[in-house]
Formats: sequence, C-alpha cells, structure tokens
Amino acid sequence: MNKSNFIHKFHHSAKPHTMEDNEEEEESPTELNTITGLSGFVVISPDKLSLKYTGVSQHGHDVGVVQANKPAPCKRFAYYFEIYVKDAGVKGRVSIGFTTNSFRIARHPGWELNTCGYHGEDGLIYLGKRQGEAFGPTYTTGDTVGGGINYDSQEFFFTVNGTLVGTVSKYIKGPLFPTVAVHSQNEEVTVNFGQEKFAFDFKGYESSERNKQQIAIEKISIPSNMSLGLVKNYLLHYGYEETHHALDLATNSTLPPINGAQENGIDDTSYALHERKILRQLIRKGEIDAALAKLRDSYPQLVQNDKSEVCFLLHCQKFIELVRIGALEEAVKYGRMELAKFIGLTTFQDILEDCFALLVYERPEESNVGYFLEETQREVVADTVNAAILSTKPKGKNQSHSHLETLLRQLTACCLELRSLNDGQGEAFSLNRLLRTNNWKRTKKTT
Amino acid sequence: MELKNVKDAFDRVTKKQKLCYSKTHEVVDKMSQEIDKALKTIQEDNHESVVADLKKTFEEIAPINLLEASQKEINGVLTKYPKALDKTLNPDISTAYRNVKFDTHTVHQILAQFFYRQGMYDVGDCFISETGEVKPESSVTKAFMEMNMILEAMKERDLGPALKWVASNSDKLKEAKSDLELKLHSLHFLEIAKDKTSEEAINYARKHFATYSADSCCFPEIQKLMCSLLWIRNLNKSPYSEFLSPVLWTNAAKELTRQYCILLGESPESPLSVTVAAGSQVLPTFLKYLNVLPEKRKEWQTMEQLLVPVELSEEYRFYSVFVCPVSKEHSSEDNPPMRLACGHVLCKQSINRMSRNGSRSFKCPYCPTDIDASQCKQLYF
Repeated sequence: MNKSNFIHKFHHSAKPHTMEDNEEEEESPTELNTITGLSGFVVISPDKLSLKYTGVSQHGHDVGVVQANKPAPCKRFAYYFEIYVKDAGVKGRVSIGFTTNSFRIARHPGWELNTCGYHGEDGLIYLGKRQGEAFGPTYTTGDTVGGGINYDSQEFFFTVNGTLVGTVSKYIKGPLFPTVAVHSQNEEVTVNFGQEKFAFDFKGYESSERNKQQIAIEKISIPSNMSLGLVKNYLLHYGYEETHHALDLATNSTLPPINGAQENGIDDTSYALHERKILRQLIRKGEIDAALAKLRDSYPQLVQNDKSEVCFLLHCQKFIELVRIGALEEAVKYGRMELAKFIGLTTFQDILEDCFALLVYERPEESNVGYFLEETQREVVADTVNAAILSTKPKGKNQSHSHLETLLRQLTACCLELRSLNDGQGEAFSLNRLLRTNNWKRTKKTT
Repeated sequence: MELKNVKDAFDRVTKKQKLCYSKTHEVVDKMSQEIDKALKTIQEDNHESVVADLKKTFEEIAPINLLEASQKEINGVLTKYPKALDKTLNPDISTAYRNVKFDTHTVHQILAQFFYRQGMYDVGDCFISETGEVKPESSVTKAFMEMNMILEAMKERDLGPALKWVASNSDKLKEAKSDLELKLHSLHFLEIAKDKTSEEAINYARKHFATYSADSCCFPEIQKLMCSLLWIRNLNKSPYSEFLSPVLWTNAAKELTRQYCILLGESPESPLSVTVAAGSQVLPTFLKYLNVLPEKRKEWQTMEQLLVPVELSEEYRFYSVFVCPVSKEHSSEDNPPMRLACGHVLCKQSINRMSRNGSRSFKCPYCPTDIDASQCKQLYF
C-alpha cells in the first residue's frame, strides 16, 4: 500500500486545482535584454520594448540584434511573440527569430548555427546556414510580424499581419530566446511579448492544432465493452455495491455477456464488497465511531497498531466531525485521548496542527483550513479504509488502484515521457483541463 | 580581553611577594639559630672565642646580600604592575576631550526626559523648576507614566493594561506591521488555558486569533498554540514546551516599549542612554589613535572629519552617508552627492574638478556617457 498517497490527499485535497490552472508557473519573456550581449549598433528605449539601429550597416557583422530577457516558456503547447516594424530604414533588413543562450555576436538570427530567423528583406528563412530558403513574403514599414514555437509538432511558425506564413522544423535543442535584429540606418522595431493584443489569432491557432491532435486520437478504436468493464471495475474497487448492481440490471439486456477473463476479474475485485460498502456509507455520513467499531469487529488487524495511518485518519475525521457540530470541548478532550500520540511523528504532525486550527474560527468552513469540512475529506478517509481492507485479501494480487486509475496514470506517464523525449518541451497531460474543454465545447454546441 | 593583562601582572606581583617573604623568613631564622647557639656556648664557660666565631659565621651567611636580592626582584615586578594598569585603565581620558560648546537647553531637556522615562517624576519636576526650563507636555509625561504602569503589570503577569492599550491602538499597530497584538493574545491564551477550561481558551482564540489566521506568517504559530491544548496539563513535557519560556514575556515587553514609543513619536531608547552607549563604543578608538599619534593632539581640537574608521553598531546608525567613488570623501552640506545624466552619482567637488567648474563636458567614470555639468541634480537621502 502506498502510504504517502493518502496522507498527501488528506492534507492537500483543496490545493491541486490552483497549481494546474497556472500552467506550471513558468516565467515568460517580458522585455528586451539590456544587461548582457548588447551590441553598440543598437539603442533600446527606456521601456525596453523598442530598438533602433544606430550604425551605418557596412558589412555582415554589425547587425543590431537583441534577445528577450528570458527564454520562451516550454512547458506548454506553444509560444508566440510579435514585432511591429515602425521604420524599415534604408534597406529594410529586419529579422525575427529564435536563438540560444550562447548567441552573442552581431549577426542576424538564422545566420549562425543553432539559430533560426525569418528575414524581411528577402522573405527567406535561415536555419543556421548562410543560404536562406524560400519561406514567405517580405515585410517592411508598417507590418506586424510574429514568431512562434509549436512544442507539440516541434516546429517554428511565423506570421505576417496576422496571417500564418509557414512552419519549419525545430532542430535546436535547449532554451530558446525570442530575438529581433535591425540592420540598416534608422531601422526601428517595437516588440510585443503579450502585453498587447496580438495581430495573429494565437489562441485560435492553438485550438486548431489541438483539434488536429484530438482527431488523430479519436481515430483509435477500442472494444465496445471495454469502457463498461472499466466502470464496473471502478465501482467494485471502491465498494459502490448498489450502483454496480443497478448497472448490471441496466446493461444486462442490451450488451453481450462479459467474457470469462473479466468474470474472474469481477470475482477478484469484489473481495469484501459488502463490508467495504457499509464502511464507506458510515464514513460518508460522518459516523466515525460506528466505522471504528465495525473495523474492530471485522478487521482487527487494521486497528491493532493504534499509530497506523488508518487510525490517524479516522481519529482526525472524528475530531473534524465534532468541530462541525460545534462540540469544541469534546473535540479537545477527544484530541487529548486519541490524537496526542501522533505529535512527534513528522508525517502526521502538520496535518494535526491544521486540524486544530479549525478551533480558531467562528465559521471554520469559510477559513483556509475549511476544506477539512468538505465532503471530499470524508471520501479520502473512506478511500483509505477501502484500500486498507483490500490489502487484507488473503490471496491474489493486491490492487491499490482501480483499472481506470491505472489507465490515467499510464496516460500521464506517457505524456511526461513524450515531453522528456522532446527535450522537456510541451505540456503535461491534465485531466481537469480536458474536462473543462469538453464542457466548454458542449456549452458552445448547445448555444 | 584587556583586563587579562592586568590580572597577569597582578599574579606575577603576588607570586614574587610570596617568594621574597619565604626567603626573608629563611635568612632571619638562620641568624636566630646562630645567636641561640652562641648564647648556649657562653653559659658553658668556653666564652673566649664565642663573639669572634659568631661574627665569622654571620659574614659567611651574608644576610644583607640575600635580602637585597629578594627585594630587587619584587621591586622589578612591582614597578611593571602600575605600567600595565596605566596602559589599560587610561586615567587621562581628557586627551580625547574636545572643547565643544553644548546647547545647555538641549542638555537639560535630555536629562529631564531621562528622569521621566525612568518613572522619577518628582525628580524630573524638581529638575525642571530648578533649571528654569519649560515643563514638557503633560500628555508626554502621562504617556510615560502609563507605559511604566503597563510594564509593571506585565512583570506581575497581568496583561490587562497591555491588552487594553493594544486594543485602542490596533489600527496603528497593523499599519506598522507589528506582531505585538498577536504576541500578547498568545500569552493571554496560554494563561487562560492553564488557569481555566479549554472551552474558555477556545472561545478566546476564536475571538482574537481568527483575524490573524489569513496571514500566512502568523498561521503556523496559531496552529502550534491550538495543538498545545493537547498537553495543557503537561506542557513542559510536550513538543510545545517553548510556550512556557519567560523569554516570550521579555520579548513582548520589549516590543511593547518599542511600539509605544513609536506611536508617541519618541525614541524607544532615551537620548541620554543612546549617547552614553555610543560614546563608550567609540572612546577606545579615539584613545588609541591619540596615543599612537601624539603629534595629532593639536589637530584633534579643530578637525572636522575623523581619520580613522569608527564602527558603530547597527542600532546607532540613524542616517546614510554617501562616499564619493572618485575622491573617496564623505558627502557634506557644501559637497553634496549629485546624480549624473546617466544615473551614476558623484560628489559636487569631483564634478567641478572634472568639468573645469562646469565649463566643459566630461565622461562618466563608470560608463561611456558624456556628461554636461549643468544637467547634474543634487540627491537627498
């Protein structure tokens, strides 16, 4: 049994949403880099978003090139930024692209190894070689040009005046810095790292690229009764006996019989199903004393060690139920009797201090430790007891997770592995995001 | 550290004195024995050569020489001891004295304030009337009386007056980001939990701790206080025994004094104690400087800037001083720090020198920018 899993759930059940919504809290470029690598051929405005060429452009090594202050964030689907050509100068030799950290010389992005650049003078794409390749239109004064990275398909893409121009394979490894260059007299360019609205519909681009991915996923077929088997296994694993029975009645007449292997699976997973159902119901109703008594009767080995995880969570839940009904004096006495022995055990002490903080509030459900009073806490305790009972199965393989959970873990692990193969770039799998997206789609269709 | 030298010199003196004493005693005892022997011989009627023999024996012993040697040794050590004392306990502090003209009025105010702060109100009133000074605002006097009353009550473990004052100044304390209120409520909570029921303690916590629990730096402390209810009878044997420490009360009293004086607009320390403490910190440096460079004593009376660094503790630094990176001199009223157009800072004299009194542009010493002296602005810290 994985102990730390449930302890972690009990303590942080209210927090994971916040973390996921912030897309893993990655830093993004906000302005041009004026600290290192600045050449003498360019001057940057005080707000660090405009650059102007001050040289006379005599050869290929006096380019006024500037990187962003931070590399492009890579733990996401895609990244994008834009420049506005305020003045194309004498020759219109503006370029936009991406470079690595070691890029330090006064050269256009794309002219050196491990750089990429789309040049306005000739409309060519340069990929670390002196010779460019045909790519898109030229751009000059008044044009808005954008550069982006699609981490899913591992490609660079560029836009002109809000229109996608083309894509090119991303061969560069490591962090990439958005880079802008000017290279003729009086050239001036303004950069937009997202502080203003983009001319290109970046969100739309991201959505359409995701849809391509989704279409590819939906072409994969699975056996028709596999989903049903997964759901049944989940219900059996967590002791939802009556729901499982109702599902059996509902599906018995419309679907073919489940094959022999799954029959064995059902028998295997239905170990102590009735007892697990009763205990889950008791815990979800907050009747912890009855649950403890039943555990002592049916599974005394689980409560024999009075410092075990199961005992700790049940005693904490009992304390929480007493706080819920306002019996504070009784809660403190119960704590002295049953919870004092857990102080000093480092895995339990933090949770215990959080529980006791409930006493401070007139309305504890509204406080920052109020999540202890939510229904989800009872579910976590019930899940812990359910897993503990399953661990007492006399023979056969011990399953700490249902098949559905195993599949989700496998999916997450595959996505993380794919990201590591792409040098740590791209987004991780997020079930919450997927559910929200589908919900949004459904709402849109209805409207 | 310096007193160790004095102690060593003193120990050497005592050791030599004991040695001299024993040697002297030895010589005297020996002579006494010879005299007794001579007297005995005379009584036996063999007295023809007794006196001559005695004289001969005394010459052999040579007591004068022995005594002189011992005395010489102790005199040598005894002479070194006052020198060590002089070196350490410099009696002539007047060498570091400067004839500075003090504002008598200010000195009187400082002394009067010292008396009132110590709670010696009668002495302060008498001093004020005797020196003819204006009596300070009665509100200030009453405020110090109240503060001393609160602190006396806290020494008796009575938090009532302190909590009352904190409640009436709650907004100002929050503005100052002081944790005094939580400190006092924590101490009071622990007293209630110890003397009364845990229900009363919980009700007190709900009333006074709830407003702090949103503060992420106060929340862990509140959690520990609530968990201490588990051991309230045996708190000294629990993981939370720190809550019984008297240091908590001392720290709370210090914080109350500090916040009280801040709200009054007064310094937490009396000006007299600050002056004496800071002066005693720098006096050894001055004495050493003047001893090593005696020829500087004439300049000592007139110099405006010290030639040796003086390291005051952090609590005695009240304002910033700018040191010019070009001339290495402190800024002053007639030589203020100036901000160049590029953002770097130099003192005015350096700018005048580099720009030929403003008639020419010059390069900033730190960056390639050309600077026009007329564009430099004075900085105020």
